[in-house]
Amino acid sequence: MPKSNANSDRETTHFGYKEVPLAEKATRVANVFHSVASKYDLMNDLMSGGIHRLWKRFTIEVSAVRPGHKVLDIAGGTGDLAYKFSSLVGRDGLVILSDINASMLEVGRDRLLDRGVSNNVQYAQLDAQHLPFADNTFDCITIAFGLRNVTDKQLALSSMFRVLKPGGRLLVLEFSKPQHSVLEKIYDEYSFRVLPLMGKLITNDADSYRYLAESIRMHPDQETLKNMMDEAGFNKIEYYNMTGGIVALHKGIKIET
Amino acid sequence: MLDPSLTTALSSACETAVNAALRYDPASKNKIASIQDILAIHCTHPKISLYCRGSDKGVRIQCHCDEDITTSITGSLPDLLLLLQEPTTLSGSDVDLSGKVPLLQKWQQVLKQLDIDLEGAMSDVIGDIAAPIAADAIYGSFKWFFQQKKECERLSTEYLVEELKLLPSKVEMEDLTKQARQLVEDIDRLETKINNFTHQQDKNP
Repeated sequence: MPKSNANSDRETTHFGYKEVPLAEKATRVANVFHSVASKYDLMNDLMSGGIHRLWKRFTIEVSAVRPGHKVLDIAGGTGDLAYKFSSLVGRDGLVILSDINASMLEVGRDRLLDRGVSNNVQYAQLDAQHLPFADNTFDCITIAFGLRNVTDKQLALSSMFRVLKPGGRLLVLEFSKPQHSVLEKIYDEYSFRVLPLMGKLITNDADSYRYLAESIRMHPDQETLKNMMDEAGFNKIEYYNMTGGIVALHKGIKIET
Repeated sequence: MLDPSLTTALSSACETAVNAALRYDPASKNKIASIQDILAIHCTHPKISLYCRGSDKGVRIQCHCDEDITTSITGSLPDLLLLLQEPTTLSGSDVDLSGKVPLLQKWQQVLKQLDIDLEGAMSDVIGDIAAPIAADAIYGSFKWFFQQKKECERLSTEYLVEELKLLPSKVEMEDLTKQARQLVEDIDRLETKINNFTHQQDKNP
């Protein structure tokens, strides 16, 4: 697997399988999500056969969010997690739905408002690498299918660690490495042949979905991400492989202040 | 450990089914909504854990729980299902309980008083005219099934005991048990006497 050169002397990083200048990745990722925002949910359902709902539900269960908690949902996109968190934190809690991409955030905000959620959810367009919050603010931070699009993942993890309260937990839900070779082969075929075709048919945009498949392959595997979280300062890190490791949920706790 | 996608699918399906049924029993739904403590159900065969608590939508069923568990029950699936059928005692049920008993009693009480309006549920699907007829037929079938089950148990017992003489009758069995118990007690007494005797012999050789 090619390694990212982020933070190296050449100052490049990967965008799918391509090497691009650091400053360019954010714009390219933004263009991908501007392009798919309106049909993001439909595509998620089609691509995963609806299983993404189970992955997100499990994330909610592991979050152990309770009434009164403050939750930050980074790369929250169309607000699936924020919607559930909103009912769990209750009137005294707060959920911040955030995304770097204005189009995705707009779709998420409209969806939540349409579902009658307004009293305990706020919206923020922000970069996960530089979170604009005070230290020790949140009880729980989630980032679902967003970390792989971040230019400097280590910087983002450190930023999340900073704004998390002691005792708070970070949950990273992300595509990962399948744990069985047969499943991996089927998954590769599906990702590189079927996904771009579906993207072409439904959003008339095969390139964005080719990027999706490539970015998944470039994303750190389970153990690497665990080590990155450890480096960022998290404790009691564990991960749960889901659907044979196609997706993994990493959990880390902030213990020290 | 089962893949969390599977266990989440199971817990999600259970939650949806239970909450759909509770829509037709508002009294039970309100009672469940007030239960905020977590009941953990650990099934040993098949190995799976579910965590239940009340919510404003009815019941919330999870396959993973990092919060404090108030009460845990552990047993095989048939034993746990028996607990639902006979919700009065854990005695002889092979189900282990840890934590606070009142929480389990609350759930058992709700289950005992469950009264789902089957007719109302069916009228949403097949209309107000056909629903009572269909509901009557279903209730009748259930009644017939349980009657036949009882009758079948009675007749098979009679056939095995009286016709084939394969099994002892209840009276014979009770007598045999009584004799066996008496024998066990006699052996215990004899063992104690022998022990005492040996002990005395050791002291005064």
